[in-house]
Amino acid sequence: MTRFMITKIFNNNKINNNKINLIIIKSILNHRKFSSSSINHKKQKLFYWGSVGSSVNTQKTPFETTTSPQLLNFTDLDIEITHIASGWAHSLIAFKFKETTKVFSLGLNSSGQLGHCTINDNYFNYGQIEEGLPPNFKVHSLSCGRLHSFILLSKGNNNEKRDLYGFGNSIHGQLGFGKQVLINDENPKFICFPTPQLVDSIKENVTQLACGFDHTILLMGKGNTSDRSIPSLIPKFHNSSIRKITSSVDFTLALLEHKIIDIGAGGTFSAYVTGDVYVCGYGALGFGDNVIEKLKPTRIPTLNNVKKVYCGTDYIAAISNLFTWGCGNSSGRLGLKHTKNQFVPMKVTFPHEVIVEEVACGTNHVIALCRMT
Amino acid sequence: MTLLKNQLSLALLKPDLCANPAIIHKLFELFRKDQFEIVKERKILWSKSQAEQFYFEHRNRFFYERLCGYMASGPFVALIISKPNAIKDWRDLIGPTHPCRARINASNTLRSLYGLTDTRNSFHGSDSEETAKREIKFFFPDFKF
Repeated sequence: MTRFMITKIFNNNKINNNKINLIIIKSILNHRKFSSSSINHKKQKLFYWGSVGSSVNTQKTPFETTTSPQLLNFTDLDIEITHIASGWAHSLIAFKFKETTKVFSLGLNSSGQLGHCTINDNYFNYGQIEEGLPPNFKVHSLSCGRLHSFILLSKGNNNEKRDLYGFGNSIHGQLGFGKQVLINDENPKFICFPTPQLVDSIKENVTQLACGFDHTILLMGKGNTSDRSIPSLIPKFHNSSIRKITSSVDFTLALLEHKIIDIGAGGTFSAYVTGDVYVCGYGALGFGDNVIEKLKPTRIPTLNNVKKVYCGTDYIAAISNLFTWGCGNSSGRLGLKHTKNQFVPMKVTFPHEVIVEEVACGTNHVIALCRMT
Repeated sequence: MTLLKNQLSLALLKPDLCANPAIIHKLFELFRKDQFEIVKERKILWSKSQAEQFYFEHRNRFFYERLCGYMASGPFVALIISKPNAIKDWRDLIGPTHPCRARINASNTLRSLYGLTDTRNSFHGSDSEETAKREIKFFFPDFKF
């Protein structure tokens, strides 16, 4: 009886049998629409590890898990994958097909985080984002948080202002749309934006973005010249501030004397890349097992020559050589052939010689977009 | 064999869990596996001011704003669960309050799997029979003990 009620409440749709993200990515990649006889661009390869079945934590994983990189084959298709991103229970994937860019989203859509103009409680959604984005766009980067997503569109020219489109849950202000979209006290309901919308409050040029759990960090700057100021929608660890911030605010990391080139936002920590990696926050941050808290951005001594950083809720991945560290779990999402916590960065070994171009860190899985050398 | 008397406890599955139906589904499987009987359940959506009323005693604490914002961020589920020793069993299952530490030290508890921080800790369980009674009365005013 009870189970029936809960089933009714949550409109449960055979979620037990899901084979979520990777399977849908496979089906997108094998979509007949995009097939052709020509050979795949740039010798692209996708690798995955972690839990294949589900992108949310499972107490006893009933799904296939793998602790080392496995190849996901899509060589027959005439597409070039440009960007991938995974959030708490959803993923975005951008690719070029016959010179046009398409963005697909898949997974949970309970707050409209897929950008499909609808909200539903099914666990099993996928499709192309068709509305809300301007025509002929180019993707500069994608990021997925817990229940929200951002697409940063570029106009091709490095110096031209990029446009930031957000969608999904906005209840904590994580989309930066301002105060008017906060919860209405008289009539409480979800504050969600299932259709992509331009974040027009941001006047500067966004260089890079990172969605944390329920917050967003943006790296600002003119094209390639970052000016080191980072508006953040919820700076969790800055001066122990606990305010809720609904439109972007500036905070400058005075500690960092170098130019910041990339940023990452995890559940309880943030990461800043200058070539070295600086992290602050709480968790298995990369300083060994006796340091689980850093209130100021601190350099990880064992890493250098880093170009990009990607954060899951409680683990971190850095490239160009792929290193991972953080909390491991039974899914094997660190890709290090073990399921334990990793307190210092460790290099991931691939079965082929590859250059890692993009990484998507989900709750329990990682997808790495690679190019054969 | 002596028949143990069933104990009642209030359990909350907080808004971050309820955002994902797959997690709720798994938790109900867990309730069944661990032989918790679900006596009553209710889905609740709080406004910010309702949350503020509920946590009024914490109004001067540093986490008050965060806590109220979190509890009003979406629907959550209140349950009356029953089993011999329900209070302790449920609290053992959800684990220590601080999920960050729990993830590193006690990775098999529910909070380490689903919780994020000490405020956003995803679960609640009554800490004694008296509190259970009071909390059940609050969420289920019509319930007859």
